[in-house]
Amino acid sequence: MHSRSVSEQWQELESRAASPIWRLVDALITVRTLFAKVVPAALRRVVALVPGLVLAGSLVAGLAVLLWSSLHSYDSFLAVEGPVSLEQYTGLIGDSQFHTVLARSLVMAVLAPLVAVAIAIPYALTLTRVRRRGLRLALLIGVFVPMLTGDITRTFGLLVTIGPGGPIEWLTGLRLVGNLWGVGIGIVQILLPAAVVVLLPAVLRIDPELGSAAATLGARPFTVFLRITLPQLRVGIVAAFAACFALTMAAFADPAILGRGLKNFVSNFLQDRYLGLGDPPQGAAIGILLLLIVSIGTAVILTVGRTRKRRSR
Amino acid sequence: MTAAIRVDHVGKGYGDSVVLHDVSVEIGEGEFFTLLGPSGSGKSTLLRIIAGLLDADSGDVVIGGRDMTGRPAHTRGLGVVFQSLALFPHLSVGDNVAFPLRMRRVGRKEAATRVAAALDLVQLPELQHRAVSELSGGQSQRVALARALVYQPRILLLDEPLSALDRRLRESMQLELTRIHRELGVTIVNVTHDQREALIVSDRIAVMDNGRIVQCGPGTELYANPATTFVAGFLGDPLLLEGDVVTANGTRALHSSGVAVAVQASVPLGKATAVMRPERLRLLAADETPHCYDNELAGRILFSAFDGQGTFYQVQLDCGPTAAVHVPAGRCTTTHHVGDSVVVAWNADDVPIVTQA
Repeated sequence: MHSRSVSEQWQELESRAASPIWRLVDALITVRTLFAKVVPAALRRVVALVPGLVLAGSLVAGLAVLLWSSLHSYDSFLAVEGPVSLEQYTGLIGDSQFHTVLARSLVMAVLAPLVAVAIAIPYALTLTRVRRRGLRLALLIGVFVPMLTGDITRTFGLLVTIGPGGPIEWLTGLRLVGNLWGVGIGIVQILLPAAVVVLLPAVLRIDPELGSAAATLGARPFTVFLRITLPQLRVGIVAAFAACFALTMAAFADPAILGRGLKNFVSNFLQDRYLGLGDPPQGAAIGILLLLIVSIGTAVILTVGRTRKRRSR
Repeated sequence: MTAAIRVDHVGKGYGDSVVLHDVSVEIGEGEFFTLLGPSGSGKSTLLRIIAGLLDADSGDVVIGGRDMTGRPAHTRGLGVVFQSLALFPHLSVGDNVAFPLRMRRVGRKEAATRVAAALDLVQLPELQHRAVSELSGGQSQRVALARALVYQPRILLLDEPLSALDRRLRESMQLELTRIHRELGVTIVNVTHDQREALIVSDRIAVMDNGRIVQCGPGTELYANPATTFVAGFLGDPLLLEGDVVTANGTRALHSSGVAVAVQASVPLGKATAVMRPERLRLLAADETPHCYDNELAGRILFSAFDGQGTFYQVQLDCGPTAAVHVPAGRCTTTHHVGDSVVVAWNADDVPIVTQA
């Protein structure tokens, strides 16, 4: 009785079935039904994954080609690939220029993430705790602007600000471009949004009542931060650090533009060898080594970060 | 009785909405005091202001004779148990309980003995090294209580910590709380929306509604003499019969929807509400005569249910409203069935009359 009256009421409701969105939904349902008739059930679930798998597969294929290419000797003068050999790798391992570039990248890939995560923690905490919507929106936009403007635009913007004749130099007299300070500032700027994004879920998961509880138990605000908030962010901090490490190791625009090409990182070095010297297998070897170092580094960071400190009492 | 806590004309609002209207209350040393009210009545806000987690817009909080204005929570030395319990998930049970002692730089050895004593008090001595995530609901409750008591605060604030427990566990924790209250002699301020809990554990209850304390006193007094219809309706589950009190034939009576109900001579004239509690009403078969009660209203049984302690009836009165009547098991052998004609009867002094809305 009741359900009948409901369904009768439905009939009287104004119908929106003619709207273009519902037409689209109907069309999609038809396509889906036809599709289900043609494709066997076992394959249906996989189909949605196909585009992603193709993209990921092409990357793997590309890397395989790079790896194969890096395992050959090469005459860059004649542009002829030689026989299979480890020459590219042994050459790199003995190359003092590569040593310098790799050491520079690794040091920056530890320091810049430290700075970025240290800035990102209070930023993410404030972002989630600010009450006024306007302020929160401003903070959100502020952190994501570097991500939204593309790498080159952002770096040139920074170049204008901290470079020769820019306001920072005019105010402080500091030369920041062409050395590692400028490169570091640029890298931290692009790491910050990444670190905030990785930290946000961890920050949102913290029960705000814990801080109140700690306060009533006698903890000062800074003690609450150190003893309660930070330990709960540990996993997020480790993940943010790992992501920043990988991003810094792959840095390209900042060393190229803010370092004026004087402070090359691994990626710039790769470009020099690949295009500048015209030695693709050498470039391929650098790429493979970089991939290896980033993978191992990230794995180490995540493993070290995961092991819980066992305190003996 | 000296006041452990004095709340003096405290007001609090967020934007346009006022959460607390000029609340004043004194809580005595060693008292078990309950703030009782529905959600949104401002009881938790008041507790947070006492704890120092919120600042009042106006008024003062005086704890132990000292004005607390401008003193943040970590300097007040109160024990607080939160609704979510707020156990620190990255610390073990022992470290959770030891946290307030570390904040007070208590030596390791002494801290260990005091943690053990606190866990003993809540009857969980063997769980020190357990992770917080491995605890059951009742155990978490006890750990939170131990953590709030381990530094021997003079005052313990409870922000509905029992509300998440199932009924049986909640009742055993209520008894536990009264035991701890007796053993330690601490002042306890408890916030709850559960009227049963409030009646069971408290020395005094303050009923809150819309940011005001409507009535404050021992549970028995609130139950017997509710000041307003809100208090009457919140404690117990009565039928509220509204009407006008007039004098007729030399006796006072409440006229309501066509019936006259005899009330005590001390009830003032004017608008009033009779608070008809299920356990104060009697149920008689319609053909049973003679009766010797002050008031008798005829009706028909709508619904009956046995609840273990007795039988619960809903009676559609001939004059309109539905009355609930609870007949304890063993008192009355007659059982009434749905549809039976019955008489709901009571004496004038069994039903309190409330004159304020």
